[in-house]
Amino acid sequence: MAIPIRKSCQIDSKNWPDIAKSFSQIYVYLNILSISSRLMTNADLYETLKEEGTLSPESYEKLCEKQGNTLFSLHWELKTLLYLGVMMLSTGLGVLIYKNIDTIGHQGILALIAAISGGCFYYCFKHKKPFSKELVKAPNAMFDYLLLLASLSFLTFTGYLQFQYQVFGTNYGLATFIPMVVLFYVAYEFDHLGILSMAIANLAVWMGVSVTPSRLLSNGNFDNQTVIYTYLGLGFILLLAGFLTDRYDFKKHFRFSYLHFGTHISFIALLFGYFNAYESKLAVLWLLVLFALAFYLYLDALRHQSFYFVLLVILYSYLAVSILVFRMLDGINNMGGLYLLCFYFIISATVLILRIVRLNKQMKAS
Amino acid sequence: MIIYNITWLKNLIIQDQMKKVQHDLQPGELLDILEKHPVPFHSSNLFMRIGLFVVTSILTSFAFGFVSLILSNNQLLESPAYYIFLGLISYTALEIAVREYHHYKSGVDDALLWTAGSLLIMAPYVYIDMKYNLNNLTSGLLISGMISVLGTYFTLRFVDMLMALLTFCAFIAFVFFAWYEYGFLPFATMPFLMMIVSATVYFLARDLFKKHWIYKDCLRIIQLASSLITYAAGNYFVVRELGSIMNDISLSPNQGIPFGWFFWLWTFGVPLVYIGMGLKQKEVILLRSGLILVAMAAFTFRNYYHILPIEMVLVIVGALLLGLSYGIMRYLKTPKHGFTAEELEGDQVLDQLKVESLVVSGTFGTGTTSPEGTRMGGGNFGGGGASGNF
Repeated sequence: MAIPIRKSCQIDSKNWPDIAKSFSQIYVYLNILSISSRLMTNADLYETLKEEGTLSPESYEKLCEKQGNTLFSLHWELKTLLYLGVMMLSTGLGVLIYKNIDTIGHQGILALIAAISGGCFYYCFKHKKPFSKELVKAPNAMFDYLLLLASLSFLTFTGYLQFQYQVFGTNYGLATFIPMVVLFYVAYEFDHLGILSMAIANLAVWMGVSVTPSRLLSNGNFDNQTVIYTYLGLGFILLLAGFLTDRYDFKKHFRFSYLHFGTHISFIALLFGYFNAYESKLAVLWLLVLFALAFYLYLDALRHQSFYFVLLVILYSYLAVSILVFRMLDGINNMGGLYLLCFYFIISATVLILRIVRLNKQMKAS
Repeated sequence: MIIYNITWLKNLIIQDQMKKVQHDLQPGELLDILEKHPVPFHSSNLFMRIGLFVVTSILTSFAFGFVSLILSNNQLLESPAYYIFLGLISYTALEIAVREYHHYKSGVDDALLWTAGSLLIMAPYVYIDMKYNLNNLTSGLLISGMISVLGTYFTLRFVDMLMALLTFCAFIAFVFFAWYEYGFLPFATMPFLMMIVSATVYFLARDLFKKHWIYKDCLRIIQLASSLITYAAGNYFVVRELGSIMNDISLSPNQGIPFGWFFWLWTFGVPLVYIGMGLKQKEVILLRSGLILVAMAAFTFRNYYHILPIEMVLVIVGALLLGLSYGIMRYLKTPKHGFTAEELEGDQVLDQLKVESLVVSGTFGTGTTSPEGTRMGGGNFGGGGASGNF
């Protein structure tokens, strides 16, 4: 391989035309390759369809007219810029405040954050569309991002308030509970999925930490079991929320976020629960719960035609089954166990592939 | 060369396009079109594709592990031929999956493609590298050359976007190493050579893009990558740091480089040129890479000149960005010069996946936990501070 390069790179200018020639040959070849099957623009596509007779002349006219004055959309570019702007501004302000706390004074900082948050909230309340149980589209693209900025600065505000003045005293639960409630309210009122995710994360914080510190204070040792149960509870609450959203037709499009967090958290908590109780005979119970949950979610996902959740359920339950098989084979002497393990994976993976392929076909068809 | 049925690929494009514009069709027309242009491929939804990729990878690795286990007492395992043999098996499986079972971007074919590719490349590479004890340069030259050749074949045959990207990057690396080893004054001419090569690739890809609809996606990603590399080749930071590594000298922080003005001009000029050209020719790729590169230019500048502390920069730039995009949105409220700030019909793929909300929770998810941190710390600090004061 190295020899031709050495040749061509010795700056013998007479070699260059050869290289250029071979390049152009490749180019020509590529051209020929697809010349038989040219289909370049949408206009050509419409024309082929019309000539075939599948596209009626009226539709053809309509499409061509539309094709002629297609607009160039800057939607995603602008959205990304807005998002970056909000992110940079809120991070920058956070650092700025942290660094200048001695010079500005606490009241000044608080006032500034409150002003930003309040101003943005004011704008949003003024421009918002009336509340509805259904999906409400934002009145303009700025709206979502101002709301995000408002909520973020509100979080900073309450955090700062508690840190500096202990407004909530030693009632730590309340200090996270209030932001959480506000976030949930904002998410529902303005129909903002991003803020809903933030609210869910805050719910986890509220639950996760309000359980552990009390334990930590009472007996000073950290029991893993509690964390697992908390997570499991959180996961089930979220799944229930997702279920209720759908059941009562109340902001149905929020279901995805609830289920997304709920599914991951519940499955992970159940797997950890199993490993935590690995030594005891009852450990299998954790996995039994997992399989029951998986079965329910699987049917639910099929009903809602959701590829994402079908995949999640399949992968998590495959993991659980594999863990069980691994445990069973652990007892057998080394070589035999290894062979069986390979065998298990080969067969199970093949079955799974065939199953997913079929499932994909079924879900697409319906 | 191409493994797929071209009529089906064509039908796929027809189906996609007509589904996008289905609101403008007469009732029943869409169904008629879909029926007359069937796509018998087996392709998966994005998530199913990921799942199938994972499961197929499990299958191949355990199947190969099983074979190796049986042969574990044999000398065979030490020879590269064995791994090439495994690679050929995956390649055969890939051909069968695509030809007989019509897999097309289903996840199964992706997994087999990458398994076959990595085995076929790594086995001979490791063998040659060990045997001849190559130095870094020749070894880099070898692997990038091998990837370029095999990758080109795979890209042309299986029309895989990622493979096209990898092949292009390997090709650029190959040119780099080759020029470094055998070129004329490599240290001084490298940036210019890289610029010329990747700009040529860009224009070539753009030209081909209009003619070869089969490779549309591949060519699009090559355009993006080559436009980024053309910029990187002349970026002040890249030239300075890579140049000093290549030359094995360490520059003092304030030391400039020859033709420094040119590279600074390139660092700031090119992103603007990209954005301008992108807007003028309405090319999304140029526009987006231009926007990314503005950020790169800013980082490069900040790396050498600290005018403002970072948080001030964040605040100012953040506010500017908000203002700028708000201004543009206001300006484009009614579409002007063929631009609009609104989303186009049938372009809401990202919306369906709810990607944005996940991004928000991903980036701000940690931010929301800050009340917890301050609260925990707040308790301790508050108590400590109080006792200190009294």
